[in-house]
Amino acid sequence: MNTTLQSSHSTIVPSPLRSFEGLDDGEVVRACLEGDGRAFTELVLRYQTRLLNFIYRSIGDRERAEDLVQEAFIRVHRHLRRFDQNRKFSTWIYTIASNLAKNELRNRSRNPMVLFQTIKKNWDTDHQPLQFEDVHSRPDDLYHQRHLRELVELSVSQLPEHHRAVFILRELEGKSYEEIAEITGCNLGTVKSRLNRARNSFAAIIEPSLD
Amino acid sequence: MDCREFRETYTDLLDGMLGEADEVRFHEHLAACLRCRRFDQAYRLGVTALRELPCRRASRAFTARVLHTVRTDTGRAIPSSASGFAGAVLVLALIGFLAVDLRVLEHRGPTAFANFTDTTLAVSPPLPDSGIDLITFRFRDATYDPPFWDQYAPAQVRDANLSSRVRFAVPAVWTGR
Repeated sequence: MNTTLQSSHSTIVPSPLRSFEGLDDGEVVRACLEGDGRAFTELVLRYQTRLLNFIYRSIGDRERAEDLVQEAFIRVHRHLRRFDQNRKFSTWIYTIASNLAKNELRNRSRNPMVLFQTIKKNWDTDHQPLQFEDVHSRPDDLYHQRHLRELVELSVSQLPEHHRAVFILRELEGKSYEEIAEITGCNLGTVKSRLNRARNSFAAIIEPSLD
Repeated sequence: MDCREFRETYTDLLDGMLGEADEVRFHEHLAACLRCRRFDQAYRLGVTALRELPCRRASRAFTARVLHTVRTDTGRAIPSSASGFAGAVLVLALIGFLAVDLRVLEHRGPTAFANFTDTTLAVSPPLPDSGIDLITFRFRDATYDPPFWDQYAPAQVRDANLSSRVRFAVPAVWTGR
């Protein structure tokens, strides 16, 4: 009875898949192509949070980010057989996610209503009451930390779209220049110059808050 | 090294791509220039804060939703920018159609009303048990084309003695009978 319950529960909400521990992405992809259904679940578990945060940082809308991550996995599932196994799986899935985020931003610029909804959502978040995360810190320190966090988020959102993608991939995802070039479809020189401009803009926005 | 060169090669320093000699020059400039020191400090502080931003974890419900969607995926078209564009065109076409239609109605209203100023009014006997009266307007050259949504749209009648008559059905309470 207990076994049955556990089994049906694991069908609905997947638990960590121990059999794939220690395997790299390539091996999990191979298992998936050989028809092991749990292998795809493992890929979802490995990448869902990373993609969710990557897309959220790129487009600034949490709900839409969830939809796009879901779309990314649908595309991965549909086209996994076409994936060149000599390449890194993470680069491939980030390329898909990056393209989805890019399309989203392009559509948003064509549709002011969507932009308005995002601004409104952000406004609602901005006007939530101040929450003190750490009762042991001084209120002015907490205020300063919160202010810095808001400023940092604002700085990232203010970067031009193609600078922002490169900046996030480098600073938050820790991707190499070569991987960023592949994900964004740019050459190495472009990646480097965009990254330098993004870093300069980011520092310029943060600098006044040092006072 | 001057400030311009410092900013241009800043990325190389952060990613460890400067040669040894350039790195020494870089650090010499950093020690001597307050402005660039502030810039460097701001960048490092900002990136540290950025990396410490709360990371949103995917919920188990989200995982279940993704897996369910993938497993039940039948290869339908994923909404794309092309379909979004087609949808936008359709919406614009509808808005255009409504705008034209409203302009026609707007134009038509006053015309019909102008004709009514030149009328005589006659209240017809009520329709039995319906609570509705018929009001007949007489005027010249009636051109009123009733909109489909007007429940009291007039019925136009022509006869030999009058140039035109338009009959409206209205609630009996309006005529006080």
